Amino acid sequence: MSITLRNISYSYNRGTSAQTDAIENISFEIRKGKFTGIVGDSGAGKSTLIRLLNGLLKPDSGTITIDGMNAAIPEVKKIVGVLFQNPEKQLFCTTGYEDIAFGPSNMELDENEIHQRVVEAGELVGIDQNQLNKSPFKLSGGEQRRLAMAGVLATRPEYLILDEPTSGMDAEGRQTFLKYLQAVHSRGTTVVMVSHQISEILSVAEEVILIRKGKVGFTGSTEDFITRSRSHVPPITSLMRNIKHRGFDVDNAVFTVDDALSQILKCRDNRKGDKR
Amino acid sequence: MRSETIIKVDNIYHSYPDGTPALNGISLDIKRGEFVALVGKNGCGKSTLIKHLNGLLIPDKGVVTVNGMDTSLPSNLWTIRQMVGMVFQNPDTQFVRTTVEEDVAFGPENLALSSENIKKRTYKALSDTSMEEFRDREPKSLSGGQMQRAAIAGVMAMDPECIIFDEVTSMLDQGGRREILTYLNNIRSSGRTIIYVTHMLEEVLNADRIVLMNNNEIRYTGPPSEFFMQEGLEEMGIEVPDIIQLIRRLQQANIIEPEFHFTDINRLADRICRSLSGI
Repeated sequence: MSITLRNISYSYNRGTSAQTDAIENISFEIRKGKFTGIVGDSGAGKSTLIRLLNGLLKPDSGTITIDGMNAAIPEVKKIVGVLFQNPEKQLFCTTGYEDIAFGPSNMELDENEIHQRVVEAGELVGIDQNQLNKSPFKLSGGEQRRLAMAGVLATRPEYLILDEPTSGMDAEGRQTFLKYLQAVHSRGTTVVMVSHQISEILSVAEEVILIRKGKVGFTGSTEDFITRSRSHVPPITSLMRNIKHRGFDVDNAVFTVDDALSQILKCRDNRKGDKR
Repeated sequence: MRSETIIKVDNIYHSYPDGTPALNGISLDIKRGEFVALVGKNGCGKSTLIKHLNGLLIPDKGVVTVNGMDTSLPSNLWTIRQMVGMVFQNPDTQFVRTTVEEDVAFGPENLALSSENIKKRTYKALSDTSMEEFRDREPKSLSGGQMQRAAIAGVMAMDPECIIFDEVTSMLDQGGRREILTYLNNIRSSGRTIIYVTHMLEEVLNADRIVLMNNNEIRYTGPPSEFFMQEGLEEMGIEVPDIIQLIRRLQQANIIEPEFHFTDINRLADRICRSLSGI
């Protein structure tokens, strides 16, 4: 079970003088149950890819299958939930509760089931009953965004796709958001998160897909990415590679401050030991 | 001669309509031509403060003056708002006309200038932001970065002495952000005063001054080089770049000297390796 892309190409304004090739013959697989990060520079084709994944755009060539079904058929929309950029702009109801209930109530579920789903989705993202009864516009920016995510979760998607979900948030809001997102993943939802912040992706994802100029630049595990990728590695990883390259015995497959520090300290202690 | 200070904020207080305090005794002098970065957590009072700088809000207590003119006098507001322009966060909600050019001309038209003059200002603003090729486009059809540039052109066409940027890059991706930062430097070299609100510290490492707000008060004001030396930045919602955090920890562990300032990865690696070799 997976999302599988085979030889996908997509161009905007195809066949006109303004044709822009956004995606060129891309193939990769997003495995079910995994937390996959899609990274790349702006304009690399990440947003186009998301629109292709949930059927908003149809590929010019190639096939996208989700659990074996063609991505364009309506059935697929039931198992794929997408949180678009700045989703708080899509809140429109008078209470947070109604906003979350909007998705499930369009699924012809009975009221009990809807209620249960709203409360559960609210809990999953840390929005309590009291906040659910407030106007969504009285919540903080970070809470609004989590509320929007709850709206998607209430439809119980098997795949949750998020486009730059933490853009514009401060450090604290971002960490809180990612914590709840990880909780959602650990309950069995497949998560696909698009971001241009590589260190953010590395801290949460298990698999990484790097998109470069409309093509796949890298695909593999997070660990592989840190050891092997030639571009887009975080500054800390570049630093450690640089130190290793100068002949010092440090592990360069690290990207966090703590790991880098402990590698440098270990190296210092080893060298002291050698001298003695 | 005009004084060196363009905006003077003298011990101002402000509360929201429901009584929650938003500004708690703020004093701040902005110098002519200065590039001031205003940073702090969401909800710390940054947006409320900048709305006081061109009279969109009036302090409950204390005084704000722009070129010596008190913002609380309604008769001053027209002039003050021409002197201090503002660009907001959401690029797509700032347009009133159907093409970029018409939109940029909207401000100058309201200044009752000659049509010749309006045209001149509009063209200059479009060229300063490299938006000439988009002049006939509908603003909504532009990318985020282009929209923000069009919004900046609209403000530039008013020829303000000071421009306030309120988290203008927060809705943009990396490419859009880079675009805006380039034009910011152009505006800066034109001698205009810039007040730049952000929570992305890496955008303002070259500012003249960083002003940090926390809990409705100013907690730090000084050059960027000393900014990261402070304790407790993380608690105030400031994201210290990883590499700066690592440097701090290496300084605590006596691997690099406390005076070390980060310039590039290669130099840092060099410094660490010399220390590891016992040099």
